[in-house]
Amino acid sequence: MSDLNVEKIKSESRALRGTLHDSLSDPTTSAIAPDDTVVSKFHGIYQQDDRDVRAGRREARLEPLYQFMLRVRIPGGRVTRAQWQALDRLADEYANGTLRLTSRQAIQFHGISRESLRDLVRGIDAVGMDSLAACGDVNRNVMCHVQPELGGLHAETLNWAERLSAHLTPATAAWREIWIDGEKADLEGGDGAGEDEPIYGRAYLPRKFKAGIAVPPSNDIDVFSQDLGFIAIEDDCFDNGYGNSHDNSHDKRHDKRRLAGFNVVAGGGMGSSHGERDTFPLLGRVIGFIEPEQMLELAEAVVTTQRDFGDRENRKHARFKYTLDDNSTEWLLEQIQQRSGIDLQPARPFEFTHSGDGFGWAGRADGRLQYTVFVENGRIGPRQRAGLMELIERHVEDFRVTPNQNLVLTGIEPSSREPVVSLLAEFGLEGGDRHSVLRKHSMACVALPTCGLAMAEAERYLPDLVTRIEELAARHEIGDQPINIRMSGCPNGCSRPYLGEIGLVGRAPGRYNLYLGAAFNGERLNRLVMDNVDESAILDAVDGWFRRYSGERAAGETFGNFTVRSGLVAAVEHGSEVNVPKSDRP
Amino acid sequence: MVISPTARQDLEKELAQWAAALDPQQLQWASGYLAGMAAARVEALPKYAPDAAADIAMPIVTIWYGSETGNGRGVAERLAVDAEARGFKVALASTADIKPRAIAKLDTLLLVMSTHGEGDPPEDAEALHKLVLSDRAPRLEKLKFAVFALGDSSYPDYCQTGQEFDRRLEELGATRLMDRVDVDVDFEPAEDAWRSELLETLSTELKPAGASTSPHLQLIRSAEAGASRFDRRRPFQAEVLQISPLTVAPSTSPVHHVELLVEDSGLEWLPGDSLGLWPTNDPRLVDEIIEVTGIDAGHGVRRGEETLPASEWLSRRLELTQLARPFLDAWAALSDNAELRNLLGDRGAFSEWVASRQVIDVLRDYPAKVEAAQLVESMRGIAPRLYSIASSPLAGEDEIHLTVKRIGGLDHQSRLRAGVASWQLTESTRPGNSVPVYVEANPRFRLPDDPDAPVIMIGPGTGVAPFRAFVQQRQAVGAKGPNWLFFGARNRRTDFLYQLEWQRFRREGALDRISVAFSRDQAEKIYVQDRLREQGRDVYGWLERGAHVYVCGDGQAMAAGVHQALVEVIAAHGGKTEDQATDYLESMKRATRYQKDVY
Repeated sequence: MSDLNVEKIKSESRALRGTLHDSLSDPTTSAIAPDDTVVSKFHGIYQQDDRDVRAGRREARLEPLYQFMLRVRIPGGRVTRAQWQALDRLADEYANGTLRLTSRQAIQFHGISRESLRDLVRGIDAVGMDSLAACGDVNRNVMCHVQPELGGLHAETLNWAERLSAHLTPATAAWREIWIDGEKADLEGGDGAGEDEPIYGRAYLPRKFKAGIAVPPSNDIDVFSQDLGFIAIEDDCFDNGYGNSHDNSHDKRHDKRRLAGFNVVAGGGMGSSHGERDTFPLLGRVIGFIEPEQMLELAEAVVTTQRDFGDRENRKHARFKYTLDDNSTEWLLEQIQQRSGIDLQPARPFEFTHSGDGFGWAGRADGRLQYTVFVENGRIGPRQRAGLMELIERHVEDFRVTPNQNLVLTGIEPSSREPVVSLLAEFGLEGGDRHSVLRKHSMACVALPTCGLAMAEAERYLPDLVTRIEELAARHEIGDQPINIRMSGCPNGCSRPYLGEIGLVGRAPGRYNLYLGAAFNGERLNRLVMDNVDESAILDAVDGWFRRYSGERAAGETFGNFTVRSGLVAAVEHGSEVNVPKSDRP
Repeated sequence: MVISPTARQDLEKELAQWAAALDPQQLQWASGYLAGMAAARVEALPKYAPDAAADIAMPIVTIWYGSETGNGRGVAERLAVDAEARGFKVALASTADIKPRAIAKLDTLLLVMSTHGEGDPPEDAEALHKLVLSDRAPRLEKLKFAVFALGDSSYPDYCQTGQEFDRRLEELGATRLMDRVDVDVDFEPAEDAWRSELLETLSTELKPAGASTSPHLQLIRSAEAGASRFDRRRPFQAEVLQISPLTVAPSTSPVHHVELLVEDSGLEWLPGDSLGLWPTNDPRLVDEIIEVTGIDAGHGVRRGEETLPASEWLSRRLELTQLARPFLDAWAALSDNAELRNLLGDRGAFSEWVASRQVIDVLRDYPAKVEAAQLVESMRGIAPRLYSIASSPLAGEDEIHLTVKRIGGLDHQSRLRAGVASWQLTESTRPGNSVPVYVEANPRFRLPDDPDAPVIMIGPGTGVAPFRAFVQQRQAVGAKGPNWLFFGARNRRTDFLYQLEWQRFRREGALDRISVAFSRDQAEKIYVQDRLREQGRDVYGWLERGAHVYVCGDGQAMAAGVHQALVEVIAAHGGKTEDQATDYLESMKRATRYQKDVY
């Protein structure tokens, strides 16, 4: 699909209608028309095919096993009891029986047939959820840190995430019209333009756009990987009392924490293309501070700046990170000023300590408890689903999808602690000791067999690789050290691999590019150290690094920081260096 | 003198092409010119037109055939050729092309008659059958006749139609030239014996005019048997080029695409024709039979004119998968088994019982101590299997493609219980192997001569095979007429035969419409006939514009369902009563615009 085609399809889509209505009923195929695969993304629907069976079907003169992925948009990852019950039921009725938590706190259904799409969308609509703008060249699911234990501050930031999401949602009625009403609308006016999109315009954005809110010291949303990030700043003095271990010792102080405003982070993004030096991941830059009430207008100003200045000729150079990198912070501040009248204040101090999730039990300001379950690669199968249903129907108030594809069970009465523990054990749900810290800090994207972009395995393979890395960690006696391991099946980077202390990006079946040296708190990208290598080469390299780390690390020094300090890899100053191998050793 | 329908079609096609270049005045002149030439030709070639006295004195030997699969036509044609070679004046015709009442004017009728399914006449012979068996049948005192009855002894009433004609012609006063012969699907030896005896009898009864070769029979040979030296008796060893699946798991009905190399064979075919294949029994099944019966597999056994080792008889020459009455009778005697005798006496249960078993099951369940010769003697000779050819010669004259559904497979004890040819083609044959094949013409299933005529093809399951050839052909000749395919199967994802090819034909404009019915993709079962009704308005519109309708597939139920749907569509959208709609279809059938190939 050429770049110009996408722009043409978008602008001629009559506000995201395309020919989807007709596509859904073509009896000779299980696919939708090629142009509609562009349009459907804006509705949160990806056409995919089972790549495991592609060759066999081609031999049988059958088209690929087309199926669809539907991504439910969930600002901040908050899922109510009624919503979860619906998602659980729909996974069996219309999808492949699994739910996939994503690295942007959304939830995906996989393996949906075209005929089931409408029923599935109606199912989520019935519980107040949607999939509009979960994909496509628009603002995607708005992320928000998941620390319900922070009480008021958490509630306030989550509220802002939801408002930001609503503000940037496309205005088109196409989603409801196509999926819920199932009627072909006769657009008034007859010019076929569809509704007015006040923020996006007729051609929407040049490329996807990502936004999220982090609350220090946790950088769980990887705020520097967002096109537009917000770092919550508290009113009172900076509280550094947050620890890695969630326990019941948090006091009522949390309830009094108030939001002063946000530091604004602009121009981050993960994607790159193999062998194309002009494409690279970039960390967002902190451009200043705003009051909470300025958030929506500021966001709109940034989005429209990208709408007007983003590259519409070359999709590989269309993300906001390049727009900003090709211009300057001053230029952006000027655009924001012109468009919204907002003058940013100087950024406030903040400190991130980590980007991973805390697991297991934690207390909440209101006295209730929460429990963070480790969900390997975000995939929730039928057995885990059964357990989660028991939990949410009997003991848990709601669920939060974390930015690391895990699940927080919140609002548990202290008296329910014991039954929850036994249910967790019964259904193999685990936030505690059964998995190593390495595994709990690993993350992979979906990749094969459904993702059309994947060049190598990720979700299906990383668990095995982690098992072997665990053996190496045990051998070198560093098994209790959390290390972020991120694997993506392609360089687009859905699992944010360039922020992994060990990053793996698929090149070909069984072969990966190996990256090293990102910061544990997500403030430094990693760097390519080995190109196109197989498992044994990866394990040999990791073995050597772990040996050095075990013997030479300073007290409390994270693995990523060690690899840079020791000269195993040179620190990356700018994203364009990520794919340039360099170490400080001769 | 009757020209065969195919020969007539070919001739008409040539003349039409030639005439297309003429304006009306030229055409007028040409018709006169041709008439004059015809008269001159008759005078110039006296051997085709014996003197008037001889012509009157010389009775015409009429050969009619009612054929379902083409076997009957083959028998009739071979008889006609030999009869002419012996100097008889022969009129050969299909019972589909005659006026039934013409039987009253005949002197000599040699009737080659198949029986279809459960004792029914073939569709082509229905009208004649109805007249002859009715009270309105003419008296036939001057008629001399002989009947050759074909059938399949795996059905209880095999050869019944031939038997009915034989009995009824005698009742109507006709004289039997020779006793009727009933033959099974392995009819060759019986056919040869019958033909030579019949010709001897004819020579005594009638006085032939001397050897000749009539032009219309030459036409038949070139159009129907092709220029190939290969036929049913002398099949061509075709190399298997490719065997690939057309369905994927979890399909419950595996279908394969098979490509055969027929380069240099001279085999000629038209879309609609079938390929006959002489199958080989699977060694596993042969071994199982040898083991169960305990016969000496290497023992030389004579059957007919040939002596072969018993194992060779079992492997290539005998029918091991389909049960037939003569074998069961013979085996009941050999085993002296009361239960088997009783079963054979139970007409009601017989068909179902036979359909669910193979020879080996009978040998196992009703054991008998037999010699190899007794076993070989008791069994039916193997018959070739026919497959609709799925490719047009214009898409590649060196290859013949088949669409093969595997019947049966390994049972729960891992014993082979499958259709002999489908198993061979889909499971045991490898590219590079050869299989003996020949072309079986199917003149009753032909694309319209007019390339502009619309075509509606209804082919669920493997019934879609000839339509692949049809669409290839129409695309290759640049036919302007629109094509509409109705296809049906269980599931779109696993059973949509040739899905990518139909999509491509559609993109290229060779297929204008495709309507599909996948019976198991939704709660209620949907079949092609339901799609016909849904699209009734357009279907009727196509019929009114002269569309030719083709139905191909497995099972009388489908064909009947489609027929009924067409009647309803014509009634509903043509503002007709059901009777009028039926007449509409009948007249389409007479105009060869409604053709079926149902197996």
